[in-house]
Amino acid sequence: MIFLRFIFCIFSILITGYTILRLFFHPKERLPLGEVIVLAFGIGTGFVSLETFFLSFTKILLSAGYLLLFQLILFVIAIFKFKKYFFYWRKSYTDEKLTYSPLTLFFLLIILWEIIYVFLDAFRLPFTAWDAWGHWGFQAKIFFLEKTFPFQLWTQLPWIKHPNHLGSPLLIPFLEAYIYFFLGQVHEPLVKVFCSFYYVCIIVLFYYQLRRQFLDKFVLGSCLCLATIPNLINQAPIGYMDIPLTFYITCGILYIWRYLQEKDRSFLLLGSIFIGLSMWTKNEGFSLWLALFLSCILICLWFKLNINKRGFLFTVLFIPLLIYFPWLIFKYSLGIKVGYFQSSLNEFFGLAKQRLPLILDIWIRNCLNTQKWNIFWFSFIFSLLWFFVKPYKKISIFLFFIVVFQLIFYFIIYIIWPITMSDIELQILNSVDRLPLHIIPVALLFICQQLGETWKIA
Amino acid sequence: MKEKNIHTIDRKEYLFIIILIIWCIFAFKMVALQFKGALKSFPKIYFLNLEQKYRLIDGNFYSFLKFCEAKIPERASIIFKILPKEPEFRSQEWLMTEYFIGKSPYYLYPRRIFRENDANPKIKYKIIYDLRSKTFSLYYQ
Repeated sequence: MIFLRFIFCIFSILITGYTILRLFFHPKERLPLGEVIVLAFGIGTGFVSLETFFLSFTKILLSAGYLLLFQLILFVIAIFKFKKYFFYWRKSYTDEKLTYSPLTLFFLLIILWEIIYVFLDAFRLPFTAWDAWGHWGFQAKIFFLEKTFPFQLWTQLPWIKHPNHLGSPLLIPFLEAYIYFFLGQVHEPLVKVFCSFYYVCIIVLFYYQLRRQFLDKFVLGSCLCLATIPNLINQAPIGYMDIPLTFYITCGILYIWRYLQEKDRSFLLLGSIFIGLSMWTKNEGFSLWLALFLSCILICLWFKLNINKRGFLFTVLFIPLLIYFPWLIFKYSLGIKVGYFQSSLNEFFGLAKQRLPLILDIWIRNCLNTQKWNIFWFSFIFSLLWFFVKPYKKISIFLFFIVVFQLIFYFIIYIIWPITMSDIELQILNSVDRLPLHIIPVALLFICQQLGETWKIA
Repeated sequence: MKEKNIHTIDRKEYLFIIILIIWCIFAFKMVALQFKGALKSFPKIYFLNLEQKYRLIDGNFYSFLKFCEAKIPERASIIFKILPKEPEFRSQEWLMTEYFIGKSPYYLYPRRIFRENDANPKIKYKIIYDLRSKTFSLYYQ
């Protein structure tokens, strides 16, 4: 019974996401079905978390029926608008079947095994990773048991008074609570299974993005690399927020990248919405938004893009903020402040001198560890050097800028974090396996743009 | 229209192929370990119910918290006290006690857990973790 409820919950998210896409998103070219499902998942999860947040402001206690009511309204509007064409999705040329060969079958088999392994591992046990239960899992449990967002209680809970925990956006806790409302109980293994869908979606999205440009063998080879990054596999089933964040960041950047290629404004809008959702997932999404905006400014200055540059920058700047603002306003109205920004500029340089060698030492040693990243970072550096010698696609420096700015922002946070030197070492060691994951698909896309020149579809 | 997916390898493409081969060598090691782990542990754990899985993770501590849950009314406040004294910061014992202090509110919510230093001394329920004997006990004043 619980599995049926779980499947119903997934369908409610997918159909809501699909309805929103159908109503507000009209690309010039039809998207393949697999991509539409992934987008529906991304938009659906973002919508239900925001819905749960907003409905907490009403005096009615939350329940699956109450949450479904608003989705049903959207659904009915869409049915009236599109009638029998609501579920009709014209075939896209990327729906064409793969050309099967022993090599492509081998790639597919490995990718499939990794997906199965992630799901098996997710369902094996309840939350075992610390923050998964102590932070997001606990918040979700509170929402579920209180049947609302307990505003008053929120700042009084002594065990989650750590400013970073209170100041963290709540997409995942609300999403987990949404699943619990459907299940009628707290069931951590199923929530972990749900979070594993993000891993699958990252691979599928990456596949469709590359398939527009490259031949099958190259596309599947690249997807195999993405799917078998050891740290990605380790993080995917444990219920941390980093994989959902990676998914939203990847969606955001891939669609903005696609807008730059195809000049279709609906992709810009879609990408910006996903960047907004990444900000609503974790504070690192905020730094990604800044990194993206700076990269956009640089490419607008550097390249003749044949787009409305002002409109482009305006959309990338403000659409994500629209999604993030409700949480920001709420956070400040409750007096929750994140205690990172306490040091002056002079102090900053002093701290940087003191901490940067340690940060770089730990990060470089970690990134060159093949048991954690395979040879990903070696390939990235190699592609970068090659890019500087002979760039095949100059605009792919946009992807490189995002990676670099995001890393710089992470280092700045380590530098200004008001904790002692020994504590900072612990914090870096705790996060060094997770933070680079956020930009892995973007970095891999950069590698593909450089290495895939001869595998391009003519 | 998409072009035919037939392709012959030229010299430029060796680079990607070499990277992919090295990648696969490392990935195979991981896949083999995953297979081994899956065959070994999954059948044992898979068919346990949720309660049994919690017991598998937290053992006696979970059983003790279930006992507390039965004895302490909802929304009551509880002090979590460590005997004989708080362990040294970042020691192995400190990590364990932090885990217990963190997990108690997770399992016992909507009951509220306070550390001894933050708590109102009038709180009636007290969970005591004795570091010497590694035992838990529940007191009601």
